[in-house]
Amino acid sequence: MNISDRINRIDSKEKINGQGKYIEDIQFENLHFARTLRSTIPKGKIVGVKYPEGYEGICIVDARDVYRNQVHMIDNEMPVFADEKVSYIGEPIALIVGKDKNNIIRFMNQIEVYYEEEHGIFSIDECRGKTEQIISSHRFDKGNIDSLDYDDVFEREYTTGYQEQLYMEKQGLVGDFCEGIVTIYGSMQCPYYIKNALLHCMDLPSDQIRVVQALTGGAFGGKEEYPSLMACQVAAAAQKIGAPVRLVFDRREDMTYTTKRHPSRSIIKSYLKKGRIVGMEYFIELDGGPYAGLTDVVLQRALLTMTGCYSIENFRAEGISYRTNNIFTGAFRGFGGPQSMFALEQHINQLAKHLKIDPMAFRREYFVKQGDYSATSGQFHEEIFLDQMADQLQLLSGYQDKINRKLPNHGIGISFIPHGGGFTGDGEANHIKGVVKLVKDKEGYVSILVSSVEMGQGAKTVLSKIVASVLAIDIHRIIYHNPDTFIVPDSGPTVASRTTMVVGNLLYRAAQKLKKQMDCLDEVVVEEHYIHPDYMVWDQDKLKGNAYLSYSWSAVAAEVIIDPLTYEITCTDIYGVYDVGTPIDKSALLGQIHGGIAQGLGYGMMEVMTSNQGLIQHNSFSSYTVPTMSDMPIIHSECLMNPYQDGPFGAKAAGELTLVGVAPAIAAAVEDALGFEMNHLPITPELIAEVVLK
Amino acid sequence: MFESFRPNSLKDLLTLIDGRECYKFAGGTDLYIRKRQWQGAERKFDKDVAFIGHLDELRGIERDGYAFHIKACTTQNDVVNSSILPEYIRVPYRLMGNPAIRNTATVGGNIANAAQVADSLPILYATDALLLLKSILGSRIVRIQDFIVGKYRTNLAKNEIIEEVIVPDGNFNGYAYRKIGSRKASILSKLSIFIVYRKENQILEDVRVCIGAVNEIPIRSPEAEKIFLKNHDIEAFLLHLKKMFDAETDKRSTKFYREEVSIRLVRHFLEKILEDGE
Ligand SMILES: Cc1cc2nc3c(=O)[nH]c(=O)nc-3n(C[C@H](O)[C@H](O)[C@H](O)COP(=O)(O)OP(=O)(O)OC[C@H]3O[C@@H](n4cnc5c(N)ncnc54)[C@H](O)[C@@H]3O)c2cc1C
Repeated sequence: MNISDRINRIDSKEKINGQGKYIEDIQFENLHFARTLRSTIPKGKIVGVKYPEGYEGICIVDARDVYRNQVHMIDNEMPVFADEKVSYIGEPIALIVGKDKNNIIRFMNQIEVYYEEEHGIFSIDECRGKTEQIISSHRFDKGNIDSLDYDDVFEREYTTGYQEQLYMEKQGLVGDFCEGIVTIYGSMQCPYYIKNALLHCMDLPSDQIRVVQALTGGAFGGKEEYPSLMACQVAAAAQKIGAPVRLVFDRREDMTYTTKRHPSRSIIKSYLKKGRIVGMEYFIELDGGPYAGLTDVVLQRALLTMTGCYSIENFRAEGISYRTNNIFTGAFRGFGGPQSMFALEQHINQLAKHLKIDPMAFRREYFVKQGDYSATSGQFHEEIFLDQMADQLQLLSGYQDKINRKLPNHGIGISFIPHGGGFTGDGEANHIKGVVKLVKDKEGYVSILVSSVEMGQGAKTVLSKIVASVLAIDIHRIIYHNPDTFIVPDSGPTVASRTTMVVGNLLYRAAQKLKKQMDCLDEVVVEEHYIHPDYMVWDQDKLKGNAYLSYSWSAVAAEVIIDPLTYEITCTDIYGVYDVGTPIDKSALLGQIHGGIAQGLGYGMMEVMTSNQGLIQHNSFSSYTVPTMSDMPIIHSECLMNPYQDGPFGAKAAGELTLVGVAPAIAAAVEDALGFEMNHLPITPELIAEVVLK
Repeated sequence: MFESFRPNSLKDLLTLIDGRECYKFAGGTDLYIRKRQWQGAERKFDKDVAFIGHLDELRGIERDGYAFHIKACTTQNDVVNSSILPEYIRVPYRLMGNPAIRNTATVGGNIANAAQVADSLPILYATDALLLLKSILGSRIVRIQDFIVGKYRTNLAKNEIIEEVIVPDGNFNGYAYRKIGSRKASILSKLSIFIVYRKENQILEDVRVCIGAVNEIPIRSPEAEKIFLKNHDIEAFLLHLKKMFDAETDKRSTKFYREEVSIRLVRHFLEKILEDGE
């Protein structure tokens, strides 16, 4: 096996031929089903719950059945089951468990929950100025923003809506309790997050808690923290009845009540002197829903790369996340980037127009280079090729011709995006402390033992390739089972575009060690621990220093045609140039590019999701419209090779980056076509009609 | 609990539904979905269910000297692939749902369901289509406009079914159709415009304009069409339509967009129709 060999994905066969078993397909003896009793009001006290009498084979599992009624995420503020009060529509109050689904439904139809309703808060606007609504806030400066010499100020406000992950396989877990051991099986990104949540909420020692990932049909961040909540519930249920309990959501249930991308509002203010940016202030607000969850991390990630691909000398970033009674928002591919980078890139376009400079030429004046300082005043230690990427993009897209030609109702727009790989700052070293293991058996087969999951992104293929290439053995000699916390060490969660770059590098090093022992006839175990590179300097309290191990970069151009009668947008072409270090597998990367573009296109111009008094309105495939193949543009993509010294074979992050730049490029293209500013995502024909006609 | 029945003939069906109130289950693409409650559990049918989609007597397309006759359980795909039906009837069906849905969903189901977004209604309104309704007691023919009472409301009697849709042949030689949804395929309408006309020797002899999905039921004004045929005054015609608008903002679109874009499209099509051949 050679790292540059093109291979078929390891997981594709079982998925295509139907042999793969998702959690709904797996048979369990004496299986019980669970359905969630949910709050029907956004905020209030639970005065009482009246359950119907005379039902057999029904078990109610609620707050009283949980040893510690807290879901451990970053903090512990979310209850496993609402007890006494509810904070959003859909908040779980109990699981109703039984073997007969029809019986469960009949029972549930007769449950009465009595509330004392309170006044809820449903928008960022209502939160502003109310400290009690703040989940978290940050502010940091670079240079000196308070004593600027400027002659012009340019300020705009940008807003973005919800986005739903819309993994094909809905949320689903099974909890089992057998011989003192609780086991969670199911669809997930982070087996050890779940394990830690169980360790916190159950009165069980670590060696009696086991988490096993089942084949997972997509996640996109949606299965990062949310399954921890479900796991605590099914674990309590399984423990109570001593049998396996399956909790699988229906599609509408999943879309209405599970985490979404945070709606945002940003204000960017640029200070100009003789047409040059001398300072910038950036303020972002996020709607975090009722519980903190991962909201503060999303906010931080939105802020940390706030100056994008540009070197801005004097800068202030401020961000606040608010507590509302909307659905609780959480992890989603891009993690704050899609919101902040839309705002920044639109601002840069509009600023270029304000100054009557071509947006590509304008950007080039500010591109960051190796040795420059980031928004968080960390020095970029890698080589950065933004100018070359801009050249490449211009060539690939025919940018100059298209800008010059100016066909009516046609537009072209660009975006340049950085995306930091792995956990922010010292997270990999201080929080994750990833560990991987390789085990060579007597026959010479090598098992990869990591907690990183295959969720459709290609982790199994890519990590297996890395190990096989270092060992120079056939890929078929690599064994990589779905992680089971009884077997695999904690290599960290499958998030933050870290799997290839960080976990892959641990495996790379482990394989190098193992290589020397491949001739050994016995079993050989090699373990490798994360080592923080010494070029990383970080102060988490001040958010100062190197926010990321490395940055990946994208340069994207989008072309649109707008129907002058209906304002329908057709995105005809997307051009993308990506610097993800060395692509480990070209097909896997192409998969990320195409998928990222589809999801970015949806975020940019199709996927409207609104909430009315805390209730998600677009909760089905018919009302929440993700792109179909007919909506997809022609995709032209290229890579720029820029190996990263601490990535396996030079690889950097790729998973999230490909989504982030799409919506800003489309927004810019729409502006180019219409001549009106587009300051909200998604850009729908309805929005355009409002802007143009009213 | 409910029972389900699969009658062997139309007569058996009519006898069955005369005795007990049943859901009539054709393709099930509306009905079955609306009655879901939890994957793997029973559907919440609060009445018995009579399957009708399998009855050969209720399938097929014919044409006589005056009209096209489409049996109620003819699938949308049968319509799309029909060599008997003119293109202006087939096209709206081609843009409904997706291939799997069109293989199952029926012509009668779309009408009887009477959704605001039902894409077959504009063409049926525009062509003054008639419905042949049948019960064990006999048959009656109603105009589509009289059958559809409101959103999800028809005046089908409990013991009746739609047996056939009759689309009078208006000898049209031109049409325009535009369905607007939030994506390019597999999507419900925000609005749709359907126009058929007959133009001979450069004289516009007949024109029908229908707007779907904007109001609860399709918008059409035969009186305004008559005046338009005489005076060719597009703006006056549009003014008439505007007065009929009663759109709402919902999760698919806004009132403003629906009404504004409907007007723009009708204007655009009428201008083209008048221009052509002039
Ligand atoms: C994914 C998807 C996409 C869709 N896209 C579209 C679309 O683009 N445009 C659109 O208009 N619709 C769409 N629909 C809705 C649906 O497919 C249509 O309304 C279809 O025509 C219904 O036909 P059916 O045979 O499935 O009806 P059923 O579900 O079987 O019946 C619907 C109703 O009509 C009654 N009924 C059916 N046949 C008769 C009869 N012969 N006599 C009396 N009553 C009868 C039933 O009792 C029921 O009340 C879509 C549905 C889905 C699931």
